Amino acid sequence: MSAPGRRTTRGLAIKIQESVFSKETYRGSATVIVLLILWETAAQLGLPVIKNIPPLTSVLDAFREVIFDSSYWGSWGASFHRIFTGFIVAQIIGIPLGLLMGTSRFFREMTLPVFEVLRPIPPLAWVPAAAIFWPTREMSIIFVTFLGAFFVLILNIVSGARAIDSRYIRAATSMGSRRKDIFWRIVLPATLPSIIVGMTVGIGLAWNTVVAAEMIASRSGLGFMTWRSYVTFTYPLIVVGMISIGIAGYISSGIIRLLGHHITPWLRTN
Amino acid sequence: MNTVSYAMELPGANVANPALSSRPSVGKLSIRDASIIYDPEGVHVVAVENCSLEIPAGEFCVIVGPPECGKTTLLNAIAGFRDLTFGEIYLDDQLLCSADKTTPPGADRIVVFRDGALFPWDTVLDNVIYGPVVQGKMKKKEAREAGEELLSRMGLVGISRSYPGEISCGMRRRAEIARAMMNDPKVLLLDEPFRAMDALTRTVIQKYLLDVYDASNKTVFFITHDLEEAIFLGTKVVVYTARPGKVKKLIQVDIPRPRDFRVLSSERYQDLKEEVIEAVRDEARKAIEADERKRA
Amino acid sequence: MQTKTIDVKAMAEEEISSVSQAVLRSGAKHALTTSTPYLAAVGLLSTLAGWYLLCEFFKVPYFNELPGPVAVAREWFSRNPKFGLSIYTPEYYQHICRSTWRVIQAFLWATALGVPLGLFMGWEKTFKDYTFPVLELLRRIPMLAWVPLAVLMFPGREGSVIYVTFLGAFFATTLNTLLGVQSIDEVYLRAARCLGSSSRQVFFRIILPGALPFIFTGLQISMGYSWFCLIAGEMIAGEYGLGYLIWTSYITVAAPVLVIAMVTLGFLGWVSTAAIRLIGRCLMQWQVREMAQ
Repeated sequence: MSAPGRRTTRGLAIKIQESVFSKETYRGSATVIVLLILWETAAQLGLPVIKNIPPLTSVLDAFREVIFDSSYWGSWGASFHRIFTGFIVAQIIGIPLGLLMGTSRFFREMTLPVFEVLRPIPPLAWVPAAAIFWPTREMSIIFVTFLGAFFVLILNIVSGARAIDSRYIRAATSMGSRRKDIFWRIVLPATLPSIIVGMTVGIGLAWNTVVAAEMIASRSGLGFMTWRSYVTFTYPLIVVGMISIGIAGYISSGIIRLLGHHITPWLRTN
Repeated sequence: MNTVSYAMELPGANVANPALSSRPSVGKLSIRDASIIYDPEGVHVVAVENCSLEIPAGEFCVIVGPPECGKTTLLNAIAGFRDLTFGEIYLDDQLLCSADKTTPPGADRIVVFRDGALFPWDTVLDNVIYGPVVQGKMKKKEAREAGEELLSRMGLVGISRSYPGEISCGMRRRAEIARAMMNDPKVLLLDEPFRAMDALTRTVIQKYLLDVYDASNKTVFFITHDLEEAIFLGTKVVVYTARPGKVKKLIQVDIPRPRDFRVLSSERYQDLKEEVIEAVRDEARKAIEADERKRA
Repeated sequence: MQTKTIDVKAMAEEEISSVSQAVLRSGAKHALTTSTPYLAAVGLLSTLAGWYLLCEFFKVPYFNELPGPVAVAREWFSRNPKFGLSIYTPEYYQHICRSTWRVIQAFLWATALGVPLGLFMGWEKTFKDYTFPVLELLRRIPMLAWVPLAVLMFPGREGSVIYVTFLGAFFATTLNTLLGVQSIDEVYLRAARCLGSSSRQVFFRIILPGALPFIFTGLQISMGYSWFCLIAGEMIAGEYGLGYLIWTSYITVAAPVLVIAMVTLGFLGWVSTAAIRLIGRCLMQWQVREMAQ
């Protein structure tokens, strides 16, 4: 029968084959290819606005050169270091704090207004204040990265924790759970999806913040590299920098997504 | 809630001569050897197999059967949401769907959906008049007046300016029936419409639907898994087999109309109920065994 | 057979609004008897007090470089400010207007382009197949990485700052609109077709209102992103504006001005998202009333 057949590896291979060579892939790739061609021709033809963008061919050449340049990979390292430090600190502080705020009404009503007041201030606006406060530039950039990821995480956790269906807690209590059982076995797993969402949005925000902070206030990293290419008139490297940042961001969110997938097996049933 | 009856005047009812109103001329459904197969080239799941059913105009026909047996699929085919793989369906002797043709969904065979489909962003009145306005049959102003009139004739007073989210579930379902009736359909298709309601509201709405039926004499194609509801409402009860679905048994419910809750304690009702239960239980057991086999 | 018309008790329009007002009024009075606003006040005041103590009173190292609330207030509300910026100086408002105007432009462009695009992508699958992958690829590049390229593309600072701000808002709006269309329960589409709607009518009477809640959530998010990108753009490449103000006050060591600008930014961000929420509430009356049940 074909229905059980879907579960074999051959069935899976057919499924992958179908999705890779599907109509959607062809159409999507078609647009991308068309746009790339347009980019190249427009740059060569000197159309307004686009003419200032370095043409595709020069970007590819720059890429080829830069891959062998160790300082390029050094930039990757510097940016990743900041991202992960700031991001992980935000998780370490944010997750327990968020859970506390989500579960304790007293605590939440005291602290949430403070958060709501501070949150609209864009993280980048904190850069000068951070530069004054922290002894090193590096720490101020990490601090600003931390801020962006932190606020998003807190808000997601709080809304997730508050949305837990009280029936689950009642069911647990009627089966004889103590306070700490309820926390570890009900509250934490139920809030995990919101934590993952907070992390996913947070990493995107963190990349934006790091890149901008590097452009403003640093001498290393992918953002700095991109900005410097503008200042030193090596324009193709700008696009190289942008694409590199994009790839780096994609890798980071991929890691988060994998992590999320692993931690929440019960959401995989779809 | 009271269980009084609404004396309605609806399209199709002839108040001066009630006898005339019991002979409608439209809405005859004829299903001949219909089969519906999902993904015929691939997974090949047979949902409906060689189903043949004749529903004369103005009959209240109820389909019962185990879950996942193809009843909703058949309804979707009549409504135009699904294609037939084999066979034909005729409406008033005109081909409605076949393997080569699917008439698109339309107001001649309106569906009342399981969990309700009143548009939450429109008021009840705007919902009710949606059909005629959108089809261009009436201008908005006259449609509003006609809609208000219909709502009051159907006993739904005072909710025309409310949003569906503001009124009770029972009220919502009644408004949805009103929305369907506003379009004077040939066939009324109802897919387990009262499933999500509590038992008390359900009894009221069942009676309401019977009043609407008595007053308008529409052909009704009603799907349910509640056997008591089936016998209480229907003129004919069709018992469906487990997948692949086909007609297992036809039971004529010869309890006279108009019916009310005294019917439920009558002898005839009890006999019919036993008959239906026997037929369905067999199929339900087969469905459960098939599911267990699939998972083993 | 008895006949009786049963009328549902329903409130007239005027009654509904006055009842909800009464509920709100009693709600507010009731709220004052609970602990909520008091706890909030405690939280905010203790943060303020902490700031003061750390920066100005005890002058804890590292913290003492930062301006405390007293210094900020003195600058902000004085008629003759030491660093030239207070609520009495026109420059303050000039910076505010410049930034706000840029955000408004970028946001309006992003909404005008993003909402129709998202609606259309949700409506026509073929269109989505062609356009979605490109959008996803471009979205991967953090918006602020565009700044140098934007400065190249749009000679003159204004265009580049608005462009970067626009980008951030645009992606958020489009994707949320798309999500909104996809989240519409199929049942409503089927009901509409049953009732005889044409494609165009389904689009305007079902898809558009149905996606509205998601669209407005997306607009709030994109407003937040707009301010985020604007500040970065202004700090890197702008003249005038609050971001530029923050950066120059850092360089000229005018620390209180820094804080004034930050607080003003926070306030503007909050007001703009609140305004969108309000507009959303007006347009989506059905949600408001449902929640009042």
